Amino acid sequence: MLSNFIKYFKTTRFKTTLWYSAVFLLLEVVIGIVIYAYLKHNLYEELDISLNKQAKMIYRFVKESNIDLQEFKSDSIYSSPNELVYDLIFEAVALNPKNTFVQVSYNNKNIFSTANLMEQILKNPDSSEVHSGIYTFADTLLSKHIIRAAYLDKDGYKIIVAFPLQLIDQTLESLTDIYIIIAPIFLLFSLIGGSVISFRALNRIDKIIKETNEITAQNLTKIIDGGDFNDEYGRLVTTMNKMIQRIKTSIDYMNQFSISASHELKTPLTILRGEIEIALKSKKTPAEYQEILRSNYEETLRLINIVEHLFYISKLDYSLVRIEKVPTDLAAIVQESVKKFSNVAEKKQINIIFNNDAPDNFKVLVDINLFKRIIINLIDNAIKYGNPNSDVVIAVDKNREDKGLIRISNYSEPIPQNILPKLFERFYKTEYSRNRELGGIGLGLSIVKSIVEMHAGSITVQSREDGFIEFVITI
Amino acid sequence: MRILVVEDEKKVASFVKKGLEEDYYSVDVALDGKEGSRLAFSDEYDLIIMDIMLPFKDGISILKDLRKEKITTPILMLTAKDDISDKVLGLDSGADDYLPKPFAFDELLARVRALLRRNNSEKNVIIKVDDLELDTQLHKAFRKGQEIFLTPKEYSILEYLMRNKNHVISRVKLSEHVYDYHFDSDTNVIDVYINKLRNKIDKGFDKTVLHTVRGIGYMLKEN
Repeated sequence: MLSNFIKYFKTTRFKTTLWYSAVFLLLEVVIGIVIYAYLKHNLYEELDISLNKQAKMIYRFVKESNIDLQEFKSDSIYSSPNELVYDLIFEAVALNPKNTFVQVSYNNKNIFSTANLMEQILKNPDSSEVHSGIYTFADTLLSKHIIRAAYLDKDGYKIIVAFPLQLIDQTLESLTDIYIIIAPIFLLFSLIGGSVISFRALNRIDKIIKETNEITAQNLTKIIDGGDFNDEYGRLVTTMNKMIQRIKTSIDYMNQFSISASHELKTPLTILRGEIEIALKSKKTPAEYQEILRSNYEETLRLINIVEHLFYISKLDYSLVRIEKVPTDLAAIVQESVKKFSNVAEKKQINIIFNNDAPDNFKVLVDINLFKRIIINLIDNAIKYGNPNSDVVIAVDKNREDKGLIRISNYSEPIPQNILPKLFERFYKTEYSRNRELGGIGLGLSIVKSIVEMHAGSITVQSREDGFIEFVITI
Repeated sequence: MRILVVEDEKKVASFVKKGLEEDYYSVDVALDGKEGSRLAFSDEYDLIIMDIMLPFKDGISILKDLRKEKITTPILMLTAKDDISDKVLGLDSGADDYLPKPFAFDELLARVRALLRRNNSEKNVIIKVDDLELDTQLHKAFRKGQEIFLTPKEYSILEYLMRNKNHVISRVKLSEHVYDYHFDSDTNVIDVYINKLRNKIDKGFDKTVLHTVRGIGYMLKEN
């Protein structure tokens, strides 16, 4: 149970949801702060403008009236300067919210205060406290809130228009309240939404995991569903399907290789087993035993030969054959190899003709041992399958791209054109090379091809109906 | 009993021939599909042992051709391929049995004996004609429980006659089935062997089993 929880916390689904919600929350906070700051700034600005405007209006009304307020005498209409001034500035004050405080003094004598000041006289601020006509102060008697005021000091008139920040504070407070209520709801929605979205997205991953888990070496033909979607998952599935295809190809290849290899090993083993069983079945003469042993020895050599070829081909497949290219006189190597075969060729009355058409000192970058292997293999084939009393022609030349060109031709049983490409296939044997006396196991030419390709070269073969066959190596 | 071995691997063909001959069979060898096909069509063999992978003409094609021509000689396929599909293909194409390489020679011999029994009413390893018994596994003959010593050729002739008991077998047919194709069918040799055989199996017993059918051939007959 606990481990299941821990497992869930480790899932991408959980992490995605968490990230999603965190980002959502952060956005929410940032937007909240921005709205809060913007609103606050705007409200203040508007208030400031209206306070300043009012102060200016009051100044204008008082100033324009040209009444000497210092010399005020009470009469039937106005009992106090306050009343007179109130009438003067009525227009400016009337439209204001009722809790706007207004105080006007002239030559440091208070001449007007709104009733809500309750006989209290506001202290005129220092000029240092005032910024563009606005300052703030606190007065617990007037309001719990900080009071913002416009101050105008002109021609002896000192006008204060003040307003408690109650309204702005309340507005901002309710905004905060709304946020505090809404934020968790939003968070909940983001959690649910995030989890639904990630569930839907990751559900396909789970499906892919499930299907991939079902794939083994035995059912590589299976295709993971979902490759037809053109999104990341679709591409993932397509990529995996392609990978499975590649794995299948190499497994098929390896299977085919081991089937062919074991098939190749079966023949000498059949002979060994059969001959030994017959030898043991009844008494034989010493000469017969000797003959059986000689044959067994031959088959053992053949087994060794096959195993060595198989081993070498595996090494080639896994790039374990090291290649050390050095500038090499190809003609010299070919000539040296030709000499080695002179006895074998003579026995079959085959004449080996060697032509060196390359310029003197013509050298090509090759691995000497691997190159020898190629040449020996091809000469061996040419003699082995060549008709008795025929010529094997070997020519070394330079092509236009300064690469080495080696041609080896002979006359043998005609090989049909459609068979030619198959000659380089592993374990392929023509009807004639199946004759085991010649010892073909169908790997030589495929090894030659691999080595030539390791040198970034190429090998081709052409034949004629009269039995002429020529291998051309460009290296 | 005459057996044709069609196998491209010379040495395999050679030891199979040798081993079968040690068991009193006469054996012909063909090293490729064409030759194998020619021999299988032209001569009467009691059994054909044939590889599937053969140069020029593969075993399956030969098999199909033979069966198409209503040649029902039992055929034992011998091959290095060991896939079930290969076995199925071989058997469905008309082969009677299948043996994957490398095989135990004793198993090959047992299968050969089994296949030779198949076209025969006699299903036992020991074939009987009255009180004459032939153990085809140990290659021994008995009359009234008493062992009769036979040379390999005498044994081959007796086996063929016993497998075809109650049927008249011509001298030519007899020589075809007990000799390989190197033998020029001088049927007088058969008469000599029959005489020797008659001395060994019938002489001194009240009932004769080996009869001469004048102008036609010989027959082992149950009373």
